Amino acid sequence: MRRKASVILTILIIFLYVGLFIITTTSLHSISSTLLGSLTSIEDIEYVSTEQNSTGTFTLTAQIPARNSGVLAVDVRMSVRFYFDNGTIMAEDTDSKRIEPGETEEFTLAITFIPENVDSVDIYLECRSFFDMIGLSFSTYLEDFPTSEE
Amino acid sequence: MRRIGKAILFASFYLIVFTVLPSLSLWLLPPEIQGFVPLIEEYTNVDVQFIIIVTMIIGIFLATLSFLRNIVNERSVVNLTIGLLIEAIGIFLSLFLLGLGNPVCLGLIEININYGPGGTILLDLRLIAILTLAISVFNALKSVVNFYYARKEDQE
Repeated sequence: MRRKASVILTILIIFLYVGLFIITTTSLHSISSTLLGSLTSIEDIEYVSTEQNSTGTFTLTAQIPARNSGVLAVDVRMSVRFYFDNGTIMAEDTDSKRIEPGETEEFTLAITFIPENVDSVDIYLECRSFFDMIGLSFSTYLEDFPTSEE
Repeated sequence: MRRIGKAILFASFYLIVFTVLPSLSLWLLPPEIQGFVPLIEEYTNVDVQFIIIVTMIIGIFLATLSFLRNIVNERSVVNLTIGLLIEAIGIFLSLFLLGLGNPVCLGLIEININYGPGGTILLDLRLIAILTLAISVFNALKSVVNFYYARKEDQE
């Protein structure tokens, strides 16, 4: 009985160790490669800016490619928010897609705003893998937005 | 004699993995990576040196406990207590390393970047923390089961 219980627990512990190793390496590799690939492909981002003279508004469209060179599918979410100086949201857009291993997806963020009214910008990028249970996100808050009054 | 040899072997394992290797890590790394350590500490809230020092101290504790566990009687309460203490310290060390120095965050790590426009990196490693906890709990359970049946066999 002692031997049987001990063997069952040992097998369970080994199974958990192997699972932990596989889950950690595969998911972190997939997430980090996708996130770093997206952050370092700034030169591949295509911007289209259209001005509507009658209202003074701009529509900025960014097409951002993201490649998953890992071994697990990665759910990627990108969002951008423009704020007024009182902290309320002026405009926002979000795009999210699942990228299968070895594939590239293009994310599109389109935002309409009045340049002189923009106080700050919040950019968010999130990658999740292994049934959404392991994730890494990066967010930055740009306070001195170049299109504000100066 | 054989028991002491086994005790020294297990204690050496803990010392090498958690004390010697972390202390050498900063010297063994290539110079270009070594240069990143002060930058990480300056521009984020991660204290690399603190993490290494705590890991080294815990390594000494684990090595001492492991040595004691292997020299005391396998069927004694002291052996079981030390075994459970090793698992408890192991849980703390896992959560400490997973939380980059903050074991309370339970695998949900927030790293603030104080460089350029700044930013925040959020690492969600809660599943890994849960699996690590489960391994430690099952290891502790195995120690208790072995102790219980060993005592039962002695009584019979």
